[in-house]
Amino acid sequence: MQDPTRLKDEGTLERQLLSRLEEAAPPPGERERVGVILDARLHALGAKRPWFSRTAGVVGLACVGALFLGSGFWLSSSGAGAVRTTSAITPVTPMVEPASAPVPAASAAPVATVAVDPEPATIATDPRQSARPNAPPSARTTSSVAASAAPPTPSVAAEEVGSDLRDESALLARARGELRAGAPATALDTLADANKKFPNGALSQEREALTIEALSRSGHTIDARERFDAFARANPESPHTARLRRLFP
Amino acid sequence: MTFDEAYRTHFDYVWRTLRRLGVREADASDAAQDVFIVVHRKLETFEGNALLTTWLFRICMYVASERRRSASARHEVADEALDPPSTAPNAEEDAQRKQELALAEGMMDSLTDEQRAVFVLFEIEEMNGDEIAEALEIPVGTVRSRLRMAREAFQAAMTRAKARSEFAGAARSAVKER
Repeated sequence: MQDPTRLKDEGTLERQLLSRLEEAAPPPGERERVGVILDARLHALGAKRPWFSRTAGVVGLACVGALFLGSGFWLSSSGAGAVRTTSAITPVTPMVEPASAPVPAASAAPVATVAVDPEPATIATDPRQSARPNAPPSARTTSSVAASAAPPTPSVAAEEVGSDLRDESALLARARGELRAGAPATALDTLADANKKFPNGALSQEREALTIEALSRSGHTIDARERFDAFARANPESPHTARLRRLFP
Repeated sequence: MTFDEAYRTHFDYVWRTLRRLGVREADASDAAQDVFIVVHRKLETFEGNALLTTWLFRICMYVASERRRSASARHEVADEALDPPSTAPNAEEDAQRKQELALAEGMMDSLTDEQRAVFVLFEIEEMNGDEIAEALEIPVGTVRSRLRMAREAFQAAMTRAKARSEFAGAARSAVKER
């Protein structure tokens, strides 16, 4: 029996609609950005070494600072601070695998690790946990200490850093929700609160991006424009700059 | 093939496939990570007697199906709040394309996961019935019956969309005449 004629060969509308599905493609740079995040996830799941590090030089670790607004989770790097943050993003749903494939031994539970040593520390968290007040605390914090440069109570310091990051992330998630709900003024209040509590927070770039968007949406276009120009000058490669540019063509 | 090579070569394919299988744009990169986590674990078991894309497609099917089910259970709707209307010079054309894409995706949503996979492989990937049967490890007769039902559902959805569009056009004309 022969295959039927393809729909796109049958009619104009069919062809037009199917071509829209064909055109869908990832945004420029998405492969590199996701690669950095995936690297962190695989590392957290016990991968022997960061596989993406060989290409990290191409994209730069700035990609780690990407804020994945559409999915509602936060990734950030402080830039100037001694603490670098990455997000070990876990799927919202349990991983589903082909029935024929063997079940992997590695645990998929999100694990937060904090390394306190003379080098910049790396923190992996699941900020979505903090954005859900009722979510079970699945993140576990461990620390390793390098003798000379370690603070007196590294585990406490590390937990404080992680706790601050979660609180800051939760505030920004709230502001984002308010903005999405069409309440930019409320979002600005929340962002001001975040600025007061975490003036040098690890997510300051994300906070500023949200502030600019909230200002624009609440009609403070001149303020928004000025802040965007400053933001774009300071962070020309930031994914937020590219996104915000659509507001200020 | 190493994982690194698989990722570099096939990230775009995985992302596009997930979108065609009904994963929302905002979730596509997250879902692609899920796919590559599986690939990372299983690449050694990939025997190479099938195309890598076929293997990836099947992983995408499972991940997309789970994501769609989970999104549906949470009654999620598309989040456009942070995607402001474009003001670029070709904004009208962009808007038109987005509208058509949304329409096509809505029509695809009327298919079951199994129908959708066959439909995508046949209509978009342009594989033939035998190739699809081999890729999905199902009899070719099943491929044809799923394809027939998928096309019927797609065309029925298109008829409904046309009718709605004509109704909306007529309503606008009536308002103008008043």
